[in-house]
Amino acid sequence: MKISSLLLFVLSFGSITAPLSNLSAQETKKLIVCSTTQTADFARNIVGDDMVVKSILPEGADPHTYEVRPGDARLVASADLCIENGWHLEGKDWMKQLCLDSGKKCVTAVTGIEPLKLVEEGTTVYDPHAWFTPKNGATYVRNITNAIVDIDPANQEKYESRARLYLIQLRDLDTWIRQEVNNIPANKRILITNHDAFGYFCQEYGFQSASPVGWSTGDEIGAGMSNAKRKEVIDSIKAYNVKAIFMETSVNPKTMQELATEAGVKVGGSLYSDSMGAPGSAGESYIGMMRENVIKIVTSLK
Amino acid sequence: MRPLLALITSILSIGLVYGYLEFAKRNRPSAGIEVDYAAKGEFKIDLTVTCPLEPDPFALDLEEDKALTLSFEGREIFKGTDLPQGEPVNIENFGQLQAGRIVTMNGKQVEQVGKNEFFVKVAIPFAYQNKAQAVRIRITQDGLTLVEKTLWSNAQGTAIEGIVIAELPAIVTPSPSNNLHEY
Repeated sequence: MKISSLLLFVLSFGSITAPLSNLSAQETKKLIVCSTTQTADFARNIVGDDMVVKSILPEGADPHTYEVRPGDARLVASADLCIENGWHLEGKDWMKQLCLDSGKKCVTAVTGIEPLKLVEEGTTVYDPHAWFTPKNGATYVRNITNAIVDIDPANQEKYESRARLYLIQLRDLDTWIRQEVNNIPANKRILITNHDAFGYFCQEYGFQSASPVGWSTGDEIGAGMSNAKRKEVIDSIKAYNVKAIFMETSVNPKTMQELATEAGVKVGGSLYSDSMGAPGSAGESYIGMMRENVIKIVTSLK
Repeated sequence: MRPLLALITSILSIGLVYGYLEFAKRNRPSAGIEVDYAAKGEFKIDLTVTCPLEPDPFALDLEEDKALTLSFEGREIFKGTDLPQGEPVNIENFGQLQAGRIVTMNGKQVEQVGKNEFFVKVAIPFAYQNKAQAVRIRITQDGLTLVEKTLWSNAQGTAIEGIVIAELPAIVTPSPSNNLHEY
């Protein structure tokens, strides 16, 4: 009797402590806090289940006009690694400021990319929407992988292995985009969107672009809508006989709907631009958002 | 007294189990390649690609990764970008290949062939993705072809990736007790 009660005690002790040890393993996972949904998706593809990745920007939100919340500061303060897109995508550099306030180092994902330079009001601005080509996406992946390896060198092999697989997918995505875009005659490749987010995409795949709003929806130099820009876009639509213009999921669709009515052109749908789609949507991942954008563009313009 | 005794016993039991698991973990054999039976002879590899190569923009490390990489048992033995189109590139001194071995199974001696696995990866430049590209690998032992294989580009035409296995027979020392041929 005494032995059986002793055994029972040992077993019950074990059954209580085992789940607790699992719980503590989960709690000790390192936390990566990213400013945008795209950088978070790249990071997730590299860390797998080894770390927790969170994005400050919610799906469908606009990074140019995002206003930080108290919870964001707490999240950054608890992070082991902070990643921003950079080149002022985060309006008024809100991610850099959050990191500065918490004394955290902020890794800039666009480092090493050849910037698309925009001259606005005499000032040169680097277009921050660099993720819109898979080749630039590969640079994001390289930078994020290096940053992750820096905080957990013991698992370098795992992170690099996942990164290599993801880069294979990006390479295939790039080729697939070229094949799909080839369906649009070269002189019909005119992409009109709400704001100048697709510059890198247009440069890589042979499109001309126009938008009523500048490179940012915020109030930076060269940003925002003006009557002159709006008129230029309407003139371009008419001059090039553009078949469709596009809204963006992270920007109010009203401007583009009005513009379409005014120019007598159809709206080809909403493109994922500055942030990805909600979980469960086709644009919930970087590859998904790029795929859906290309399908919408090709079916509307060819 | 009894609860205290039970607590001490349980802590002791857990400690013993934990100690054993740690001991087992530390004494686990390493994942390194162990060559049990080194193959004899001079081994060479000829690589021939059908297209010129360019640095791969989708490589993980732009400084290190090249357009063509050849790995042997997980270790990179050759990387290159400046490879001549259609001309074989010769690779030597890439490591020790493993010969087969004779194992006893169900009381009989059987030959287990030594398998040496090579992985080749080639990033095809965009301008050459419009038609199928290939890489030919020839592995020789003392000038004689051991294996020759042509790998073709994937469905997207973006890369060539594949495995080549060089199989080597067992090295058998003549002995009156076995009747296997000498290789």
